[in-house]
Amino acid sequence: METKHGIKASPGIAIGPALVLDTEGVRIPRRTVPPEQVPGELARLQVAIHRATADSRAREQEMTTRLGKDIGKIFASHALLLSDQALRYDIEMLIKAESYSAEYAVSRCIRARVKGLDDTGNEIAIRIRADFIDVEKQLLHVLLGEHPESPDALTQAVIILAHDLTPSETAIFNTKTVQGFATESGGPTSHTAILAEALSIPAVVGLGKLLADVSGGDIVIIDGDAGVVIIEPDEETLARYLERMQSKADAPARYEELRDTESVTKDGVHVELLGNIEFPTEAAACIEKGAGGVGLYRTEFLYVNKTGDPTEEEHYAAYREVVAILGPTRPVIIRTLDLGADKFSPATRGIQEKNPFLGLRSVRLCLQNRPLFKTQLRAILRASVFGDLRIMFPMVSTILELRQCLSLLREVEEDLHDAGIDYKPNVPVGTMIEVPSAAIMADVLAKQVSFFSLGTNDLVQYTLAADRDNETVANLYSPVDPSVLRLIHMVSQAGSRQGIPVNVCGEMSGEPVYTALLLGLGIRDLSATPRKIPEIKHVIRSLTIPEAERVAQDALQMETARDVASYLRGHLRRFLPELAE
Amino acid sequence: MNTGTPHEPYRRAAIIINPNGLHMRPATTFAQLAAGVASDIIVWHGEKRANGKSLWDLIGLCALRGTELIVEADGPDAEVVVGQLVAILASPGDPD
Repeated sequence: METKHGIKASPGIAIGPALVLDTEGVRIPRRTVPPEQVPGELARLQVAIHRATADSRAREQEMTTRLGKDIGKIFASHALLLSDQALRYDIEMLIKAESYSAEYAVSRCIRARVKGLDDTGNEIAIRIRADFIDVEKQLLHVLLGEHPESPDALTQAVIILAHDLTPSETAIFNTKTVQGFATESGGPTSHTAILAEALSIPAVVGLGKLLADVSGGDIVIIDGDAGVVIIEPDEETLARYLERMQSKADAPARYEELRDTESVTKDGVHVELLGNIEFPTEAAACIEKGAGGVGLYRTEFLYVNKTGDPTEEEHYAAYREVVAILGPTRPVIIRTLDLGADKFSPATRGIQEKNPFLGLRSVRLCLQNRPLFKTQLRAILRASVFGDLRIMFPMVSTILELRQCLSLLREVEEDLHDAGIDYKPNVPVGTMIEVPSAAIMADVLAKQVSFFSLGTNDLVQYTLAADRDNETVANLYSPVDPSVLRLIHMVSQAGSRQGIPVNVCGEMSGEPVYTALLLGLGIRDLSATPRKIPEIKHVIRSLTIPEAERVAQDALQMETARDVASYLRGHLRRFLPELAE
Repeated sequence: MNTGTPHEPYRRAAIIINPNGLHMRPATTFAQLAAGVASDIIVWHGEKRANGKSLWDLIGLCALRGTELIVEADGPDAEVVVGQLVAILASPGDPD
């Protein structure tokens, strides 16, 4: 038995016989050609570029359909690179100047760029390396008339081991036979890793020397949760992993049964469990997973990557679509535009801010661009006729801002009334609490609205003044920092004194480890990404309120985020061990 | 060329704030938009220049977070286009 430690690329456990793929071996037979053959090589290059581009476009289509737009875009990038005029020019120059064969020129040109990026040692190089090698291989395969080694035709389940895998090589894996993979090189943020996760294939990368120690057919365990690969495990290890796999496999089926059950604690307290969505197409997933409605409908997709601002009709259509799926009685909470000035509007594009996260964004931006804001509000009020739509303002930091938003909403109502356009009056309005000032003033804000929604991601970032994407300070960012817990507690109490619900819609509400804490702090409304809902419902149904309150009381006594986190993990491990991984 | 005022390219600076720098995704969005406009697009990273319509060139700039790039557009739609392209570079997350 041998245990190797690498980098977690895609979670889950896979066990099976090894299949060692030779993904390095593209042999280039001729490096140079006689000068009279140069035009012929240029023509071969042109044909190869043409074919490889068409293949990438086809893969983009296929993967977009199968796994969504984000994954499709990986292959759109490849197609764009393959048809790139500057790349083609560089390759052609090598063929003309050095009489290189087309394949050697392709390889030289792309490898030189990869090496140049590698030498900088920065994160861009790590992320794009697999894509550049992918493009090189696609051209070489066409030029050499070879087909990439495809495990597609396999009939038996295997674990793939390779030096490296490109996104294209990963995309053609048949997920019925390929149980998992491990590679010697590669990083956690490469497109190959992202694809593995999208395909739900457990994977570990960056293992260093691996292939020398494995023969085809050896039993291999891929532990994508820990970033570990075990070759020829002993009986005890194998038994342990088989058991873990089994309990993981049982879990989804168990939660599926919860779909039609009520979201209620063991002692009978109802907890509203809603779904977060980004696009109208995700609304169906909320119902499928047993959510009671949509607790956060992000509307930024209507604004970004557009040449103009969205029209009222575009807004209206997007809201109608979701209402049509959720039906007339399930609530749908629409968050008004929540973007920075730099990101979208032709009117404000290119505003240079030194510190965009403390700048003109969200409701601040809307209040300075009233026509833009009114367009969205009009569309929401019109669509409200068809269901239970509610409005939520993001990033409110003072009562004055909230009052301005509310008075603008009243103006919009009057306009609609005067124009004789159908709308629903008195739509419930809430405010997000994601700026510390709003949390501190929650008792004052509570008098103006029908509900609160705690955006924990931003609340944590602003409370601790730490950007979690900045690895040098990310350790400060914790949703269970005692300062954040006190703020959540304050907001929850302010809501309950005023008799308005307080929803939590940040990532925190989708993590089972925080559920007891949030209920104990008085939260009775959670909104999470749809796929997390069955798990969270399971936790809710296993808890009693006094127990949750005990957890919260204990956590509120602690002085550091680390203590709280480890206490909550320990509690979950004792209470629902299958979720404590 | 013909009527008085000489043709001036539009230039605007953008600082990369995406934590992952100008990697594949934002560069793809940039190149796709640039490829569809009439103006010629050049992106400057200090002395290094890239054809803005070329993903190959843009990735080669190796622009990390914090890098200042200059976007230059020359053509009939230059003014509008520069604003849109700068917005992509100055976006804190990945576009779309």
